Amino acid sequence: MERFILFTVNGFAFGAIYASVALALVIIWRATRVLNFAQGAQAVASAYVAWSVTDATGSFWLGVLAALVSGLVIGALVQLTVFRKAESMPHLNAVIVGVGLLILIQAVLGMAYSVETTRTIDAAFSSSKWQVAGTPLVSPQDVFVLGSVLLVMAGIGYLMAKTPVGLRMRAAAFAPDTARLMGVKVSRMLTLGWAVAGLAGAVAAILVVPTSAELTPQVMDGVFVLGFTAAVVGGLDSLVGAVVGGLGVGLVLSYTSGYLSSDLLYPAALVLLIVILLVKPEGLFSAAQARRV
Amino acid sequence: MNVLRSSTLLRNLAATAIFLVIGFLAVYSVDEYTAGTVAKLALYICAALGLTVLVGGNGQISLGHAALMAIGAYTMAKFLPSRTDDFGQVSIGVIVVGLILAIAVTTLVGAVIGVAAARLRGPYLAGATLALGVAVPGVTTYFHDTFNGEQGLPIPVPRLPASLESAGWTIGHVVALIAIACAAVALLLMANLKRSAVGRHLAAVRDHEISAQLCGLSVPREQVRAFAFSAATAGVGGGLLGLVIQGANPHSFGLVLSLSVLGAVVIGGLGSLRGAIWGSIVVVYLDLILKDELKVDPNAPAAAYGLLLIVVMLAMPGGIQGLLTRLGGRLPRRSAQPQGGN
Amino acid sequence: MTALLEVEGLNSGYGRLQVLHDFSVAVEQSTITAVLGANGAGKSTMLKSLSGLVRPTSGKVVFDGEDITKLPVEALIQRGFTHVPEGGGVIPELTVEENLRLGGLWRTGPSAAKTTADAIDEVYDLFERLRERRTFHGHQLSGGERQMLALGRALVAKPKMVLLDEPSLGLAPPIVARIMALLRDLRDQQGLTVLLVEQNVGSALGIADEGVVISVGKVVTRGPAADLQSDVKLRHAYLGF
Repeated sequence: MERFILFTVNGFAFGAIYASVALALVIIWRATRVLNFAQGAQAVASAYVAWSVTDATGSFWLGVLAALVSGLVIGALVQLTVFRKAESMPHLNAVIVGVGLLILIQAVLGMAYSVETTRTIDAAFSSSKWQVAGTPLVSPQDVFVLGSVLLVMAGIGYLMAKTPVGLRMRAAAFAPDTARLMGVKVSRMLTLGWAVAGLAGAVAAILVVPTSAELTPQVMDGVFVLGFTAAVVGGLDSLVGAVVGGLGVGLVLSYTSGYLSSDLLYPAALVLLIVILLVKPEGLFSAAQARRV
Repeated sequence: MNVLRSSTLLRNLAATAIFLVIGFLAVYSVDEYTAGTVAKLALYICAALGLTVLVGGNGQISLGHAALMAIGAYTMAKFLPSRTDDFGQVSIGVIVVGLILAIAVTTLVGAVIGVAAARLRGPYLAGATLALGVAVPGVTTYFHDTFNGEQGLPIPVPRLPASLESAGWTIGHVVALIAIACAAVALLLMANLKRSAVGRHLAAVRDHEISAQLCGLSVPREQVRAFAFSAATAGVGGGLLGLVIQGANPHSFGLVLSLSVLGAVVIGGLGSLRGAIWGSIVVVYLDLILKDELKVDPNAPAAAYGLLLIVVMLAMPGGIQGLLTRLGGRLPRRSAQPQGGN
Repeated sequence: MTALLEVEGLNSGYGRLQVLHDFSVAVEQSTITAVLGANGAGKSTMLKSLSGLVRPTSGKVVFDGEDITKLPVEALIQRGFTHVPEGGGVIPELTVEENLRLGGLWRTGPSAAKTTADAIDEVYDLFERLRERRTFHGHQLSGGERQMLALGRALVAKPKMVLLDEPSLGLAPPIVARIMALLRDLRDQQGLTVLLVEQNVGSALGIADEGVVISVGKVVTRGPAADLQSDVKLRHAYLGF
């Protein structure tokens, strides 16, 4: 029972992080039909910004703030410089451009930050679990992880669903020509979408890097794959799907690696991904059905 | 000359012969260290030839080709060690058998993956193959008894024939020769494939699935085929890489390798076999020159070809080969222009 | 006499394919002009060239005294110039209410939200059906409801002029009649100016003041709608009825 609770809590905590990556992917996919393979690398770049700022100022929270801002900025820059052109190209080109950007960002980070220093990002709060009747339940960090991701989700959800900007973004994503006729500056909305996605990615990075031994340019490679799995499980079109998919994938993988072997984390993700893609390729929550009408 | 022009097979044979002669001369004239580079180049060419047929020739993408290469290497590592002589070396004949086995196993696995891949499109397939690549270390660790985890398995070196040894050759030269020969065979087979009915079927499926279907082609079958072909050359490439590094381990067959081979294919020109050669040269020598000659930051080669990848895709999707054909003033070959179709 | 919309010598097309040749038209304030022609005559391209979705290669579009030829598409709605594209352009992923709100997003200033909310209410009064279905998504609507929504969304912008691309497409005759009657009322009661592109010649000429017939991208004839309607030879040659 104690193990079950542990795995469940871990599943939710990691699932929240996957959900955050998935959310970034979904926002961009909905708007541009581009799957951004550089999302993980962008997030790591934000993590390095956080490390630098914390290193210089001594303040953890200033670092977090810097990471979030840099996430927005990097997201927007990436769209303006590279993807604005790639968006209108065939899928294959956009995928390869994303891969190129992934390699480039990782290499530049490797050049800018020498391997001689070992860098880490601390957890915001203690990772030791609170106990209830002798059973360890959740740690403050677990609560922080879940809470921050839920906050980001709620924020993005509110922005998208309830505000005029969100309406503009959705219109620009779903029907660019109609949106322009209605006075929406579509390219600006797409840039904004990439920026928001960058923010979601940065949040994931801040939360996941403390669980790794060290901050390296490659630290998010695996998390990106798990975030992609989560996005596919939820349906690449659905923001809600990204969240549910993230938590679901987190739980499944936590139980697999907990009860079987932690080596099976990525193999299990691969199996899950393939099964979903073969059985229900549109994902569990996709609005893809609606689009075909 | 007219015969060459009219017969695809003869032309391809001639090209392969030229490739072989250049390759053998290159191996013959260099020291052992450089022979290692030549071997690396040849194995990159092997893997890139198959990948370019998959991506450029059939419109599927793989971000996890290193996983297939790993299967080739692990096959070698399973087959060779029990057949060593007293000095721990194996004869060239056994290595050839090992490479053929590597091809067989990876082709089989590739076909199985291809069955799944045939149902996936564009970015989905890219993500799934990426997940495949990332899953390799976990598999080798979980099945520790079979794959020996992170450590990996050793692969014995080939025995140097006495005649060559007296001529001052080293084991490195022999490995390079084997790699060159493999690349030449791969080049010949892929060149013929591209000009055959099968090659045109693959291209038809790439250009327009529905039209291909209406012409009586089975889209999944062609896609599985393409995956199997590309897996076959990846298997050889992986087996050769195993010979070069004398082992099979998950780290050497990671994301970096997958993306390097993809980079070679894209930079050279998607779908073009000659492009696969140019691209492999760029990727291998960029690494060599920046890292070993200029001694700049070890990340510089990656930065350079990451940037190249972006620039090529955005500005000249035909890659080096596309540029060459344009400079040559000829109409680009359709097969070198995978983007043209839609 | 200055018309609200004046188009002079418009040439337009896609890449090297020229579709529209030397197109000119003048639409007077509070009138309906119908542009008629068979499938592929260049009607939709003409409308897209007016609103900038397709950039004309030469020619001039003057709206309300201002040259709008080179204005970005998104700058038109605030000038009172709206374009309802073929099929209506209802966004299937958005609800009826959200689709309508799009029509007012261009407004700025403190009273923008209120103005738009009032305009949406007026549209609901016009189409009770839309009010009933305000929370439905675009893809759940019937063809007629979608066309009403498209027109309603344009009206939320309170435009001076509406370009309509085949509002009758795929709709049952009673619904077509209703939409045409509505356009006539809007012209008569609110002074709306309409440029209507149609294949459904009978319905369009029934409400139009002026008519322009185009064939293969060129104007064949123009004149008062009533004259065109009675010109049997013209109808046989270009309009197929």
